[in-house]
Amino acid sequence: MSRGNRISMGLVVAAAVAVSIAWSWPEPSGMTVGNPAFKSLGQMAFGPGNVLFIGDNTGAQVLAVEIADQARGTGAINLAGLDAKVAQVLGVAPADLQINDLAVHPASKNVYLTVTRGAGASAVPVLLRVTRNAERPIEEVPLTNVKYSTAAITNAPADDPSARRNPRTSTITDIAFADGQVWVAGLSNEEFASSFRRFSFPFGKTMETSTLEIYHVSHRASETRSPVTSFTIQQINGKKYVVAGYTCTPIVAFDVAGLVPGKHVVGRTVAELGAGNTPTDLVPFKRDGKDVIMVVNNRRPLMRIDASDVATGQALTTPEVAGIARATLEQPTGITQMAELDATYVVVVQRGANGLDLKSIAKSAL
Amino acid sequence: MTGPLAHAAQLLSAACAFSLLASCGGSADAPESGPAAVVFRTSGEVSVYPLSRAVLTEVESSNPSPEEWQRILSVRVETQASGDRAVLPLLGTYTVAADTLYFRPRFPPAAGITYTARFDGAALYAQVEREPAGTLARIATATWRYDAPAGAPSTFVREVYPTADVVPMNLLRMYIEFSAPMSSGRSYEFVKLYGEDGALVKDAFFTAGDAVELWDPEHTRLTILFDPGRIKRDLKPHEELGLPLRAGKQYRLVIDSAWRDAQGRPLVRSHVKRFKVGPLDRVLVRTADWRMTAPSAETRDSLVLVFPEALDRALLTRLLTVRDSSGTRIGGAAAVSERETRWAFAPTDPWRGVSHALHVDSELEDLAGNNLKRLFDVAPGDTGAVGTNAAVVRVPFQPRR
Repeated sequence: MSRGNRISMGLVVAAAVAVSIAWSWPEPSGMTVGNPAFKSLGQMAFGPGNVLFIGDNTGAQVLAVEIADQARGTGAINLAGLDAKVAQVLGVAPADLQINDLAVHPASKNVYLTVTRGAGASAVPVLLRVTRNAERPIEEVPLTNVKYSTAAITNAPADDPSARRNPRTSTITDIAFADGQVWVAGLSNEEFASSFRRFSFPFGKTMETSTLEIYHVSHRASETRSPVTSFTIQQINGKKYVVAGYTCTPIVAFDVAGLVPGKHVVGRTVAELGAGNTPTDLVPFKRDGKDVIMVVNNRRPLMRIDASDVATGQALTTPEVAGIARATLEQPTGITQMAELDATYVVVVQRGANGLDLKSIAKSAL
Repeated sequence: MTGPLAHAAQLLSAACAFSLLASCGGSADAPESGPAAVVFRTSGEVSVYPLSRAVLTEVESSNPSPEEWQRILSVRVETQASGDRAVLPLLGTYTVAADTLYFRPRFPPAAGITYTARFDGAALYAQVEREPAGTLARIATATWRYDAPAGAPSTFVREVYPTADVVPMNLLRMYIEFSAPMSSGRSYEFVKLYGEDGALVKDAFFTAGDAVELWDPEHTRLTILFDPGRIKRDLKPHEELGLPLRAGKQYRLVIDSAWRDAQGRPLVRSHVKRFKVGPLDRVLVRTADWRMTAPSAETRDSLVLVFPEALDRALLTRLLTVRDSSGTRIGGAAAVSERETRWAFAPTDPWRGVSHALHVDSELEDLAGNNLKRLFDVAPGDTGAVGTNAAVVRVPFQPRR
């Protein structure tokens, strides 16, 4: 769901500056060179040092890989017929692949895609990048002989040695990096529980799990069992917030400073987006000098909310009230994924009459 | 194995049509033997031979970029706009051995896809700034279609949980269990809910824009969540659409046989799960309401639990354990039956006549997602909305002497 680069605006700028000066990021320690084992490639987020965090749902882990992409691209990046083109280089029919997530490399500004080629037993997870090279716009990013480390997403304990297998899985719905930590939201295929995990990076042995409560709109009864489907971490007016979209459609703000392990933290529901819809992506960026968050919805148009409203919005108390102001965009339509590209553009996957297109759209147009 | 023998072997293993370079010139750049051909092997690998060893060696040592290699030899999938050069070539690697140029695709061939290989002799020579003899500048192509061995459908829906004929109006979850691993990514195209009037029930399931499919690791069980936003009161989806299921009505969950299994084969048959909807379930799961039958000591008789309502099939399998007084887990096999209202545990070794305890993880849910701790959906005035605080509830028992 989260589609896109989850690094905060501040970090994007910081990374770009550091790279342009002297490659001065410290080596991320705890990584080894080799061939990481993984079973699937899903949600992604770039962190500093060109480290890409990838959720491996089937392997129940987060993979951190250093991606040394030497390109230095600037400006818009577009690829019409994205799904058809990806199918061509992978040698399959477009119906036989899935584009899982998209992220922008902080230095090269190439667009990274996690893709599944085929389905079922023969499915192969692939990491690709879309470049500005018109003759060969899609390359594979090999995950062999790379600098990497992994963190297991522990499942419910299976302490029954006679159990053939543990059928419980946790699907990573979104992943983000901020302040030296990887944040992971997940959805279980069994119990209906909210899981929001933080791993320190470099990966250590500990994993912190937070339970993020939200108020049940209308009667302020707290509600702990709604999983987060997309989120972003953003600095607003000097304070850091987790802004989360839930399975039950509300957009909720949490003060990061209050997220102490083992403690229930109650967030403010600042917007309700309505029925039959899931906010699949929350993409923060600066537009006309103002911090905004674009909400990509699967059944409703794009919506833009002001970050400052998220910081100050009153907790909703009735479902009749939709919450903080949002601009509903009639155009562009069919956006399924979005990530910030640079100071000027976001990059989106847009569904049109002939399949999917990768497009850069000026932030000023959103 | 190199030389003509190797070529013969490749030709034998090839399952393709190929076209020949029309003829060979007599210059120093001429191929060393026979007419050059573009050949597919059953692995999808493509070879072009015979070519001038000297030229190939020189080309290889020029360390061509991927684009340069692709100009010399490219393999593309045939699309409706076939012959379109805008179709991007397959990812793969190029190697040279003796008089042969090889392309090995990054991925194995896909069933039903036609591939076209195109060799450009002029581009080969241009790479090393040589002038080919006229005939060597030709384009040679070959096409090949990979047809996977077809097998008869063998995968079927083994069961849909809950197996009850009547489910609560606020049913949270269903499990579809298959006899073999399934494909994923398009599941919600093949699982539909219909009302008794035959109309499709729209937006019944939580799919996150079809982005989230909740499979077990083997891909034999799919979890379907009814949209929690429609179930929980005072949320906008609930206000706008109401619950997906209506009490007193009948429904059909239809699983379409066109759904492909992991081998790419359709299901043996479609599966229809019919059920009726009863009242809302807003009651906590309470172990005090269970009927427990303790087994006899020195036997392998089952410890039996009977519940007043059906509980979640998957959680029943995982969240109930039997332990002795020291907390050590007793090995054995549990069986769920009677439409998920009965759980029976047979130990591996005979029961000892000492105190034991059933450990119930308080996350255990009923069909409406209520667990031992709290209701799935709480509203002001709900009585008994909050249950235990403990992670585990212990129910002691002692095998009978």
